[in-house]
Amino acid sequence: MLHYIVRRIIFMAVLLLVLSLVSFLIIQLPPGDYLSTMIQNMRNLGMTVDDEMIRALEDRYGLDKPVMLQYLKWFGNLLQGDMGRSFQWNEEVTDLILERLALTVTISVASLILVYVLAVPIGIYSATHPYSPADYVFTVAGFIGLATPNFLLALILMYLTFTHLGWSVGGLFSRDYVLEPWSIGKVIDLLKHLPIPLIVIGTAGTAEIIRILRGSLLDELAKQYVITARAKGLREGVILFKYPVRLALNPIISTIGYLLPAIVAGETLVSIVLSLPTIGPLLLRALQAQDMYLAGSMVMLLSGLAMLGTLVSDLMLVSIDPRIRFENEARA
Amino acid sequence: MFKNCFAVAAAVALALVSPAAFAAGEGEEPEGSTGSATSAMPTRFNEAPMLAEMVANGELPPVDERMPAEPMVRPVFDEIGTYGGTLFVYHRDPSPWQDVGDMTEISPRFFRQNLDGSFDSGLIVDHEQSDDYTSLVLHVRPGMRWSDGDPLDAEDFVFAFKDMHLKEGVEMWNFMGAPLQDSQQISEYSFSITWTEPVPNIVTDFAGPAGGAWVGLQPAHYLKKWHVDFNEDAEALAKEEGFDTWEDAFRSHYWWNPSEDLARPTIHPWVLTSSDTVRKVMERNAYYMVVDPAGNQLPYIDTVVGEIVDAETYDLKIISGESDIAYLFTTFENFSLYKQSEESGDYTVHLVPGLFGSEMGLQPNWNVADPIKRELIQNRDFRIALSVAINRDEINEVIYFGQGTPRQATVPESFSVYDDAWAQAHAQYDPELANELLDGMGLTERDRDGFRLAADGSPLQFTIHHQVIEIGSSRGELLELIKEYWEDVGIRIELRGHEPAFFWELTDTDQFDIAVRAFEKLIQHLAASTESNWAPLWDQWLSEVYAREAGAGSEGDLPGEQPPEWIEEHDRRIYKAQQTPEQSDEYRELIYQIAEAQAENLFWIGTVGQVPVPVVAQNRVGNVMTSFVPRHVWTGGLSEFADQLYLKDQ
Repeated sequence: MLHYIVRRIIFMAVLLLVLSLVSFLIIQLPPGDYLSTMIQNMRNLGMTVDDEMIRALEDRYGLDKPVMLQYLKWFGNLLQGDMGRSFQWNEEVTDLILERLALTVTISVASLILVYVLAVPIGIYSATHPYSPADYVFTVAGFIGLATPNFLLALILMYLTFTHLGWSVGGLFSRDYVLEPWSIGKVIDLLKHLPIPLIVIGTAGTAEIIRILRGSLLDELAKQYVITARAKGLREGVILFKYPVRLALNPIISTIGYLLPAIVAGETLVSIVLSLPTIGPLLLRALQAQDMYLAGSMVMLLSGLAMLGTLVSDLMLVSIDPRIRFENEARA
Repeated sequence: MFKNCFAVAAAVALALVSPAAFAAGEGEEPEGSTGSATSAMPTRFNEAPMLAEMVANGELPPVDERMPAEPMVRPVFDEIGTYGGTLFVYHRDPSPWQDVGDMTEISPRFFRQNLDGSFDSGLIVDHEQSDDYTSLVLHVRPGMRWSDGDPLDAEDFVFAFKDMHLKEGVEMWNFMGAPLQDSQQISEYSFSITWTEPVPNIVTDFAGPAGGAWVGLQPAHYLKKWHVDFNEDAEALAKEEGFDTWEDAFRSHYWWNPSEDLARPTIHPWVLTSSDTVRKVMERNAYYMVVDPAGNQLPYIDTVVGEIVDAETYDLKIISGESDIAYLFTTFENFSLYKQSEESGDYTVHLVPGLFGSEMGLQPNWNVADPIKRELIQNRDFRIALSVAINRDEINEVIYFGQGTPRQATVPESFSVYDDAWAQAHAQYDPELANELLDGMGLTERDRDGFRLAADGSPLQFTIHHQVIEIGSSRGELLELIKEYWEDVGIRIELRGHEPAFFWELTDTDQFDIAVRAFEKLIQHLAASTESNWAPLWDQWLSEVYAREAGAGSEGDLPGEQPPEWIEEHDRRIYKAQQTPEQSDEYRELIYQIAEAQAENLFWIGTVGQVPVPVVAQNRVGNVMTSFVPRHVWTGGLSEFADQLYLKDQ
């Protein structure tokens, strides 16, 4: 087992190295660079940018140097924990990410909890009562949840909340509380702003998990060991939760790998529409502006998290599903 | 691009005396508001209660010691305001070009230009220009202070010009129209500047961003310790602060975009006190050197909060009444949306007369690589056919609620040199004439779908290249209309959107047929060179020729293609206009010839222009700006009045 983990970690290190190169190159791929974005902004604002100014700017951002040189400098610093400075914000990348991390994780974790609390019981209910009226209701609702683009749902909910409840929408605080220190009023204000993001971010996830759980559980329930268990007179609850549900959770656990990066930068579109100060919009803005150190570092961070998540979900599978454990041991 | 093209815009813009804008301001101006600084000089100054309190506690010197004996006097739009309160605005990105947080615009300038186009003194009270227009002696208003209380004198100006603009490794933006040669301090309050080329219209430039904080002056006392000429240990200090070189460290202290060194003193009405990726907060500057006509130190408002939001939220914050004032990113297409919630949101939508010659202008590429298309585009009849095929009245009704002016791409009516014939030139809707002209060029054969074939029988299709369009923007509808009009006369059109950076790269080549952008820069956009895109190859050639004439430029063959003689003559007129004082007859003559050439040749095909800019302000906000100073051709110009905004409920 230890062997397995060590081997995985070594592979991860190699993969990260490759990824760092790929992500840096991908950011360089689109035509132009941060500079051309900036010059275009200046032109749009009505300024004239002459050649002399462009040369000065190139010098300032070190963009006249070869790509490989830029990459080596960035990666060298990255190894020492220095992610570089963002062109766009003129700040340390680390500071930018940390500034938004707490809120991002709060929202993502809260919506995740919401998703599991809603989806798992509903999924189990749907599977145990297939083709019942309630199952049809959940199925229809689930398909709508899956089919509606999240950002559209966000826009609709935002508009309805504003027109019907008169609440301030977008952002996390209304203007009266923006500059205030933390107080009960401010917490209530924050709570008023949270439902829309949570509902919107949660809908698709909930719908998806209901569908997956219902499908895999239905498969399991039809298997012979369940019939045997029932024939032996075991109580329905024990039959359900001791074996089929545990197995049906497998596909959900194996997706936990994607959850880690999603917690940090998922739902970018929703955050943009709702003006939530999370990491997603920061990443998008960085990519649009070709702010390469910020974008590159974030892509690296996310890929690192995805790999870590995959490792964790594999380990969880091993511990939950004895079949995988035995297979591994047999092979080793 | 040839150098100094910025000066053309500025030079041309001075001549822009705006009767519309002036008339809007005239009726509402309080007495004395158009008077010069000296005639309306108040003798006692009042200050904000929050500052009076600090003075009483001994935290600040009294107001008379913080202000110059003769401060600048700001005419107010409506009335004398009351002190206090927090103004909420919404920003679209971290850059310093935002509502109220528009750092290039809200700074006091060397000179101030009034709504009628006349000039007043500003940071500079007096100046003498040499006869050859290459040097200037300036006298600084005595007694002004930086926001940290340090005296502001000629040294701060010379530091910006000599030790920053002219210093290798320090990046500064030159908005002055000619390269600097030198700057010297003469006495405590006077200094000189010299340029390598004549700058006859420099006063206009210095009434704009060139004469504001950052470009025109810098806090020498604060920045010196990072500058290698003033501190031998600057390199060591830079290392200590975690930078590679002194240039990097110095830059991080003087650079403004987007989050600046918060400790750096400024002369803005508000001083940035916090700035992150979510919001910026600005507090009043206790040393701001501007008063209203009653002697109250400006600004009226204590605090400005700017939150960074997405485009949809920006509009939602307007209609929900949370945005106190918005003007830089409002769009006229959203006029009815803003208007709908005027009552529930408790705000008013003010329309400020717009100055764009054409909201959307089409530039056929005279240098396009395809020889068949090139011949067509260079044929004047073809361009006229394209122009008269457009139904401008319909565009105005459908997109701009009839509030714009259907017109050819040319200078706006408020321009001092203006002829109505220029706006009328080939701007009528006449598809029959268009068909006639196209037939006359031999484009008579059509394909199965009814589209015209080239004279040699090959298929013919033109691509209109544009920047990607934000969802919900009417630019898309407008382009669809253009496509429809042109296809109605048998020209097959394809619309293609590009990511902005790529769009700008593409439009510098011979690889596009027709490019789309706003015609906003008046005469400058009519040049083949500079940043116009209708003749990219001629631009390259001409730019290099100008560079060599000025003693710069490179060796070897000239790049691009040589333009016909008459194009070069036309282009040289624009180059010449910037070297000519705006008041002279010669200048008027040049502008006349340039605008006539456009009316005749249609380098640009215009659609609808002079579309108003919506300024949406809460009803509790007073002294809302309702006109542009006629200098500016971009909307940022409204921010310069922000220091007189006040909150009526305070």
